[in-house]
Amino acid sequence: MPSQSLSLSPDEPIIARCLAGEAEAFSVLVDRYRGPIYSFAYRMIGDAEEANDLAQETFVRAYRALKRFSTDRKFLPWLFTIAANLCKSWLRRAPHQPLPLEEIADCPEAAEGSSPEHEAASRLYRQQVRQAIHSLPTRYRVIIILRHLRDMSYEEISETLQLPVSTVEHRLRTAREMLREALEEEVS
Amino acid sequence: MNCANCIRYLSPYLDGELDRETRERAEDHLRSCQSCQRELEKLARVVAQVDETVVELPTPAGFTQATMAKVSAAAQARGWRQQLREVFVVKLGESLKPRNWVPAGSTVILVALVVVGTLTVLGRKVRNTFVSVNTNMTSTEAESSLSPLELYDEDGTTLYLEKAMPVPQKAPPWVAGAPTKRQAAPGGMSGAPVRLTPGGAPTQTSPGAGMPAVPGPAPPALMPKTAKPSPTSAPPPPIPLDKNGYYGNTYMGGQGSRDRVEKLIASGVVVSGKQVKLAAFPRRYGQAFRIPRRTALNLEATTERTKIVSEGDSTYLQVGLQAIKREGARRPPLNIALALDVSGSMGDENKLVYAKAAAARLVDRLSPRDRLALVLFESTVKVAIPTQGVTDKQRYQGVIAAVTPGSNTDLYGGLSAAYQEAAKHLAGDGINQVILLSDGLPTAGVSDVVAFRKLAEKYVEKGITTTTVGVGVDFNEELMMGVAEEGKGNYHFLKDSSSTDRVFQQEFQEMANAVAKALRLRLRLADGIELLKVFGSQALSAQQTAKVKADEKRIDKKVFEDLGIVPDRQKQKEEPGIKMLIPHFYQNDSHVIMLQVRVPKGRGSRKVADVYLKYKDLVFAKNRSEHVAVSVDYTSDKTEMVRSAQRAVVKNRLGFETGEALIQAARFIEQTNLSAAVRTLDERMVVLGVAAKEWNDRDLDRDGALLAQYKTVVAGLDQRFASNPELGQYLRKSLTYSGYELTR
Repeated sequence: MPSQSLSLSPDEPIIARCLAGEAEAFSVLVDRYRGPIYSFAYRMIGDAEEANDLAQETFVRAYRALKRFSTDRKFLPWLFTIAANLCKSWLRRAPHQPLPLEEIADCPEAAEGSSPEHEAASRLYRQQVRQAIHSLPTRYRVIIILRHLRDMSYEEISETLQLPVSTVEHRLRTAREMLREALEEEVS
Repeated sequence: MNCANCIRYLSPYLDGELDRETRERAEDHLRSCQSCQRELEKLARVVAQVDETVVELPTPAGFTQATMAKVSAAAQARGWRQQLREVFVVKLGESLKPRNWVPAGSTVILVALVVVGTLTVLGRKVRNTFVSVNTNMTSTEAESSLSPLELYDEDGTTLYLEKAMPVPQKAPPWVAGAPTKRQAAPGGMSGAPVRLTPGGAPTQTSPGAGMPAVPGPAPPALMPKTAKPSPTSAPPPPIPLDKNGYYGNTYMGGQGSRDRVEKLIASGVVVSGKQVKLAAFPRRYGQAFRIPRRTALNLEATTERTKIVSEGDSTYLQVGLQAIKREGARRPPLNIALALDVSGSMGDENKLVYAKAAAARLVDRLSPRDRLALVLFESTVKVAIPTQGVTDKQRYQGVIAAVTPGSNTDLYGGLSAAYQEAAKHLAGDGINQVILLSDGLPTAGVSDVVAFRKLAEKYVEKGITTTTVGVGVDFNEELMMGVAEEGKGNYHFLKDSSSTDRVFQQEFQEMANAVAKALRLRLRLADGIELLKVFGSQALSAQQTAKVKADEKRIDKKVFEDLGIVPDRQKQKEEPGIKMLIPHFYQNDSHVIMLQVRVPKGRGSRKVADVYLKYKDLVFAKNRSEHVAVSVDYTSDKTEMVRSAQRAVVKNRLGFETGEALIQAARFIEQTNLSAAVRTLDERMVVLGVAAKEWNDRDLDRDGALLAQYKTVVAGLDQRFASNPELGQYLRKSLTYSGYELTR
């Protein structure tokens, strides 16, 4: 089992240990980044079980390609690159499915002390936002998710998706306009 | 800044992504423009909402553990290539002087040298030549039986090598009654040298030496009547290659054969040669044949190398069949009877769990238009639900869920009952099918494989096909496969819980959708072209030929009755060429047939073969015939020949050869010559390792990993033999006649 010190150290030495043949060290990275990667996959495809598979596959691919990972990139954006590609090809294969109505394990932020009515209303509203995001075309959805899930900078998003910064900016703006329209429609 | 500009900047403004100057100008404008301010507020609200919604979720339980299991599996699969490097220790540079490094009279043993040839076959110049030498063989017996390795360097770019095959060794003392006759038989390895061409495949240098044509699915006449081991009986005499004969069909729907071999190996079981169907290997690869649109099938034929040196050389002739792609949109109603084995043996290894899951999946996929009968059998046979429309799925699921393992297995009785149920309501316009889900070990009632095949055949005539789904390590594949073959259905194998879904998905895509019937493929080799091998098939006997031809006539008539396609096979003129009859071909499917041929010396170009295909196109309801001619160009440059290799064909050939390596290894294990078996696997692993790496090909990588896994199984036998003398004897029997006995 990886030692405590390893779980606190930055990514690079862990990657080095993996490359030296210590496969178990990789579990530290899985633990560290499973949250964002799983969440990303789930937001992209809207199916918990498939997202689980795709997230796991992301790590497997990353492990296999670790030799090609250059340390002047950050590890998480690189994982996102792999995950985004996997999600895209999954979406190409599978017909776009409607989001399941009740999202599994996804209400961590129910504010304490708020009334049940208020809670129900805000839950319904979150559901509408989720639906609106899910209905975005893939190339817009991926940028919205990357930006809002981890507050990634345009530069990082551009690197992750191999797109010019100007395209990132443009798509993000368009995506937000689409969301605004969708949600305004919903309200009226 | 005007409003149009400002609005464009609002999104990056909120993200803090504007440079200072633009930001200040935008802020200036916002202070003076109410409308833009309102826009900003609206946008900010959306951003806040999205921020609130797109939050990190808790990952499912066991995520890291499951991921790491996959990671280490991936690491292992990759590791098999690194393993090679440990086995093959010597790496030589370009100045290869082979004869010098063969130490005369040394105890060092030289094994396998394949890589040189492989690198050239990849169509590239040799960049990195390495020679494999294995120094860590422990059995002195095996050592002394090997002649030294020899190696040529003919023209600097293409290296040829000759490998001396091991002389049959004396049976170790612990193998009682080991027959020497068997080892001298053509099926065994004689001491004749085998030449490894740049193609990496051994070619025969004298008749009967080297690797013989590998038998395909055992035809009924050659099949042992029962599984009674008798170590003294000789193998059937090899059937000579015939350029004008009928050959056994190698096409079979489903992935059963390959899945089963994988399962056996993963379970640490010795695989018998009979269990390996060569065609199952390339079958797994995606083929790049052109997909037909206006016909049910597309026929393609090509040689592995399009150029041949003027002095002549051997190459491979590939024939590809590709069926039309269609979605299974309008599936005809199905009339299915499921015979589910609930005997005691199904209680082991989770077999019944998988079988139940598969049965439940089957029920899921049916609709009220379909009929389903459910027959459960053990020592007694019970029609749990007689044939009826599938309107009450709950009832089926309930019965399936409640099944528990019983005692003996009356497989024949169960199958018969299922046929009777299916026959009660034959769907004229639909599909009638019996699905047998079992571990195929009849312990009660009839157990003769021939009787089973006859039963399946009888019902095919009544319009009921049979698909078999095998489960478990310890089962009788001959029976399950034979029934599916005779029953004109598919053969599947439940490897694990995840395969239950795939099996019926595939079955449903296919069974309702044969797009061609009565395929008559004829490969007429041109004059001077010598036939060296037909992968996975052999010439049929007169009796077998009569049977497949009778089949053809029957289908011809049936298709006329059903679809009105004019019968054209009732009087069949005998035409020259290698003929194969394929009863039916499924939509979305493809198939590869491969021959090894020798092209004689010559100039210019030369025709290799004419390939003819006749079939009944069920999609467009007409008789079809296709013809493709294959020829090669001569070249004076060997390198050019090597470079003309077509990768897709090479890959398929490597697939067939992976199967051959398993069969070859089985032969050695039968002779209790484990080191030779390991070496055979090692050699193939080197070839696959280089090709997989060079082409970054996952299929070949998987095949290599499979062989590597098997190698550890075989290598592990050594110790077990030493500690248990009777095991060797037992192994011989079990491999020859049942092949599944030696479980962990």
